[in-house]
Amino acid sequence: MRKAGRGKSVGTAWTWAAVAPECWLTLAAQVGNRNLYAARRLLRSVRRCLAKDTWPIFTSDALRHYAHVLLEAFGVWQRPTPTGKRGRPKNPVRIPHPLLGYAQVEKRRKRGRVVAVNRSIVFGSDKDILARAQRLRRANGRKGKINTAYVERHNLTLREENGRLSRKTLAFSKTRRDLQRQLDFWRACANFVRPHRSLRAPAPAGSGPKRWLPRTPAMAAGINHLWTLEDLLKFKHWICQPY
Amino acid sequence: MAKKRGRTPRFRDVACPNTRCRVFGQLGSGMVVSNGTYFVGSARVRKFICRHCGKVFNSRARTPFRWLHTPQRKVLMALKLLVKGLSLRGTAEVLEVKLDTVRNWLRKAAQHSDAVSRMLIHDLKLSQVQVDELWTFVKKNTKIPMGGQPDGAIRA
Repeated sequence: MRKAGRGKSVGTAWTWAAVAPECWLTLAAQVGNRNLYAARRLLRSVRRCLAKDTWPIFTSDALRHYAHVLLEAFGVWQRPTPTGKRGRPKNPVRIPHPLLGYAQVEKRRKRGRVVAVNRSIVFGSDKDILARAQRLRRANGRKGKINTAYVERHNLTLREENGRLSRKTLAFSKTRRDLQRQLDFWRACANFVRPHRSLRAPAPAGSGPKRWLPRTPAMAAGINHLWTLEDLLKFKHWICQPY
Repeated sequence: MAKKRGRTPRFRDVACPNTRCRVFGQLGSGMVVSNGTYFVGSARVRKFICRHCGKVFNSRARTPFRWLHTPQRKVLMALKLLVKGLSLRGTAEVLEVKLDTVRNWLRKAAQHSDAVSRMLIHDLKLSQVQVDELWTFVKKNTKIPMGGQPDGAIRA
């Protein structure tokens, strides 16, 4: 009999994450291998979070699987124009939606240090993607660039707040299932419970000594109000709520 | 006219948790009425009955606190420690409970949180999404051959 936790489930594993930079919402955090199937699962989860007519720009590292699964999740079928010749008509092909944008950021390293950053646009027009990337301002107020800085910073938070992902410790996961559970719980806490400092809003004048009002990523995305951990755990998700 | 001990409470924010019931998950159906209380430690838990299907349930039904005898504060503390970087074993030692107990709490909390996330995070209109993958390992680190680099040397 095969023992649980043996075989392919142990050893190197990858945590896949998707973040919305404008509101710091963690859209998905999943455990998998570094292959096409895991990328597909991630993008399907992201697709579920988005409205039907929404076409955001995606940015990632240079892993080739993303372009493939983005086409699957966000592509549209196009029937080739008939050639007028004899024979079987060509099969329909999947093409990216005209509004879908996808850019890759490839960092070249030498002895662990970044020496060059290559930005390449895979889907969408250059002008459109650059304009949309510029709209998300940097912390110093300058125009934004195509980047993966937000998700890289998010990776650091993941490592900081999940003992299982901390390097060089003995708190590593013993099963993938438990790691996925920890990620599910952490994701909900990070989205609904923990206020994010960069999202804070100025308090209205005359409301008291506090200058700022805390805001969570879910508040910034317009989903709910500030929750405690107890609120999260007592939320009745099976009831039709006013949210 | 109000009764001697106050007005009879109307539980408009409670719904029947029985999936087979016709009023399952419906607020304000008028079918759910109070059916007593009981104590878990010093906390009072209210019991309800659904007049439609006869199901008796309490205010903790379909939450991670269902069937738990541990004080709620202790469970919340354990979960807070887990999302602040402490390990399962560390949490179990700090709170003087068994490892499997903490694992059980995490399992329940994770299932509930995932369901809440699925229910609330949808139909978002976002302008950008960034995706990445993060190296980690389960149970054992990548094998390092004698005198060589670890295989799969790419690190996010």
